[in-house]
Amino acid sequence: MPLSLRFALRELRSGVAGFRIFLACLALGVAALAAAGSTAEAFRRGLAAESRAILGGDAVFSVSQRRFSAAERRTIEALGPTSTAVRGAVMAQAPSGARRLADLRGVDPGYPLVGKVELAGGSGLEDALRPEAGVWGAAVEQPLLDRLGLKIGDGFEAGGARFVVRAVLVSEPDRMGRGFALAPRVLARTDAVQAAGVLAPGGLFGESIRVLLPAGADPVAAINRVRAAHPDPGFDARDRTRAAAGADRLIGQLEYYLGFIGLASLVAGGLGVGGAVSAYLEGRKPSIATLKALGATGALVRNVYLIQVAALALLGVGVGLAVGASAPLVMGALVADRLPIPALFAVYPAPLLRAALFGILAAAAFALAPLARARRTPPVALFRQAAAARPGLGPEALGATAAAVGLVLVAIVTAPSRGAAAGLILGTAAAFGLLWGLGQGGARLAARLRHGARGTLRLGLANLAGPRSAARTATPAIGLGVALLTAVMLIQSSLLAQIRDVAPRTAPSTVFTEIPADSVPAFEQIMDEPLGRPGGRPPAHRAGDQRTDRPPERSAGRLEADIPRRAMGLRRRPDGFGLRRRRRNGDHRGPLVAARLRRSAARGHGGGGRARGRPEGGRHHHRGGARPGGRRPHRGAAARGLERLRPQLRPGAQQRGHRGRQASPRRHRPRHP
Amino acid sequence: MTPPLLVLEDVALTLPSAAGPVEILRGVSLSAAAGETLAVVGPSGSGKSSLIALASGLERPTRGRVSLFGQDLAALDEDGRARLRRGQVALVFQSFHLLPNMTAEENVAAPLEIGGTRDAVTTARAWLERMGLSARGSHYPHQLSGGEQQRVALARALAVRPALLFADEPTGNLDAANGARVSDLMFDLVRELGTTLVLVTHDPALAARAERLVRMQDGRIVAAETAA
Repeated sequence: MPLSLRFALRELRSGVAGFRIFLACLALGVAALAAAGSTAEAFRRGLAAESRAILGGDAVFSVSQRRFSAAERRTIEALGPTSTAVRGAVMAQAPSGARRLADLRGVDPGYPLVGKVELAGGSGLEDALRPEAGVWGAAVEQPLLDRLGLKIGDGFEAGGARFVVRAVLVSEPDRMGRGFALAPRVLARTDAVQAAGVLAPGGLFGESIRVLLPAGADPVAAINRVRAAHPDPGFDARDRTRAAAGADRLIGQLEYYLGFIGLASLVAGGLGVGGAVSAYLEGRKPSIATLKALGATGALVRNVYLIQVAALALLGVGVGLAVGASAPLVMGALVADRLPIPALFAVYPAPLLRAALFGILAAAAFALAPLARARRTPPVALFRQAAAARPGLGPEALGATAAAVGLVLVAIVTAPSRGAAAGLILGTAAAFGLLWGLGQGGARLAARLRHGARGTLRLGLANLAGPRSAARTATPAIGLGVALLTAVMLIQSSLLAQIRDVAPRTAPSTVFTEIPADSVPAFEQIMDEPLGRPGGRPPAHRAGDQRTDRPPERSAGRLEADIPRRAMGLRRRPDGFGLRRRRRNGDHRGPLVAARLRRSAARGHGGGGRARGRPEGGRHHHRGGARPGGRRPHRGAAARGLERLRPQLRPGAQQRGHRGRQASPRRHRPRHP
Repeated sequence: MTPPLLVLEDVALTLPSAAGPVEILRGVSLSAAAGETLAVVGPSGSGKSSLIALASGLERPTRGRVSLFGQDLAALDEDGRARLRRGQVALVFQSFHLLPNMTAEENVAAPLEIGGTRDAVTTARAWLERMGLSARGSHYPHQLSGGEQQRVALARALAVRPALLFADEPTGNLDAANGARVSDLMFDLVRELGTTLVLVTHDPALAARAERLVRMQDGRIVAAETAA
């Protein structure tokens, strides 16, 4: 056994009493990183394992406000077995008169291609959706039944079609792949949705075709074949690797946030690591000097303590990995059944290795430099305790620098946002530098002030100014810890706000649709009264120049696939208010999704036809109808407005309202129905 | 005539302090021959311990020359001086300075292991037996009395059969009985091994056992005597 290892093992007999802080700092940071990575991996694996079911197939093609053309349908159906679905929003009305917005989805007999629809009551999906005597069968989600006061066997109307509740819809296998829904779901046959009048051209509906590919087929290649056959498709396509892209992104963000906590713990704890090693070696000064007096070289002595520190660092990292690896398992055992996202909780090596790497690099970065003290402690310290260590840089400083650089690089390379990670690290370094300067300055200030002080104040100032002043170490340690904690809390607040505010501030509280073009002025006048809009306000919405006999415009804007972070707000344009769009998801080819108020009246369109438009209720740029002055219109204002307007509207105008405070985001366009 | 093992030529030591530089040694010249016993006496603060530190190579002088076994220590760095000490120079301290996390046996074996001796443990056990501590080999320093600790320290120093032994107040922390026992062991063993002994002491009786005596004051040698 090498001499340094032999001596190190003997030195370790003193236990880890002086290293509790060292171990705690390392273990906590590594545990946080390991737990975050393991949990995220569990969700990713779960999503991947269920991707086919989440998507409802190997690939899904979807269009909005139109149906697939026969040619498109043939091309897609040539890939393999398919299932078609349509979807749109309707007002469901119970016999009692209660009305609620519902998300009506129509499926063909081939649905679902993958997985199983879970129903309560009824005797299967086929039976639940079976039409009988002009009444369409439907499976309805319990929240809608509760709101309408319905039960299995009761009838209701939606969009002019009659339905009967044959089962309670508990879950659909491809639910998550379609993102959040605006309203409770009603599942019926495609023909039922057609009968409800949802599928008229230009209306707010969507159609999707899901495909099961042959075993081993590449979904991306299949999608590309369809795109090649239809170069200007106007449809979206997604394969199973992006089955729940929104959930993937959220998991990535949460992992980064939790990982940031772990990294912040390691950085803040690194100061504790360095301090613990320095204090330990200061206490070992007589032993170090004795070994040198006995003939040991500086390198031998340094290696003795390096082995000890390395062993303790591995212990700390090991404890952290054990805690971090088991935390997701415990969580999975406790709450797996209640998670909205599938997860496969297990021990995954990759995130653990990553956490271990961070821990080891952090330990090296903060512990190596103090180890130089072991090499530089002069043997004359046996005679003179105050004998100072020899100055100068050595291999320990180089090693610490290399470890710090490695830590920074790994942190940046593995971060979802490298720029943000680099900014964090630079900010941390700058904050540490500033705090270190403050500590030094504080010690100097104390030295100047102590001469004029008396009693305990003088003693305190003398301690602060002395060579072993806590000001030089405590200031950066406490300050950096508080700074990182503040950063963590700010990130948490931002994440929560993002998750909470999926119903965007600019979302309307009530939506009126299918208002005939020639009724628009009267409608606006009526709505102005209770909501108190100032006179002369430009039209609420810019209309897309749409005609009922023409496909909807295609927009260059692209939208979130699953979970829109903000709904469209409004931006001022010369001709009125337009719609702000977020540009995301490069494969979006569909039209604008949002409320649109047709100007067809002003432009002479739709004089005899049925124009569609949807002004937003209230002040459209305020969520929940809040007005610039902060006064909210009465909630019933929109309903009262509709009641006054209704006699003037042609049959078919609908109010599609929803409460602006719903947790679900507003979906202006049905996607992947 | 064999050259002296230890030579100090006009050695000075000045240390910095907050109140300004402090002259610890002011031009000391000294030599010690092989097998000789030399006592260094003087009041506290006269520079006796600093003289030991310079002579053993634990510290560099500010001025002057120190040579051990004909080797000028100024030509060696700290590691070089440490290697020179291995197996040739040993020290015994007033505060014992045993390694607290090693047993008595391991303490005695430590310099042998550093020097690369193969049977370090066996040699250590033999020396503990000579010190009357064979039953205490597995005990840690905190489990030993002061006298036992100093005997372990003496065994550690002599186990390497050094050519030169520096003893800085070896009986300073011991009672009279233990002090006498350690003194007897030390003088008997250095005579047996032919080791040159440089002894710093306040005890006149102990100093009188040395062949030569030098008296220090204010960083200088003010008198040198030969035992009658």
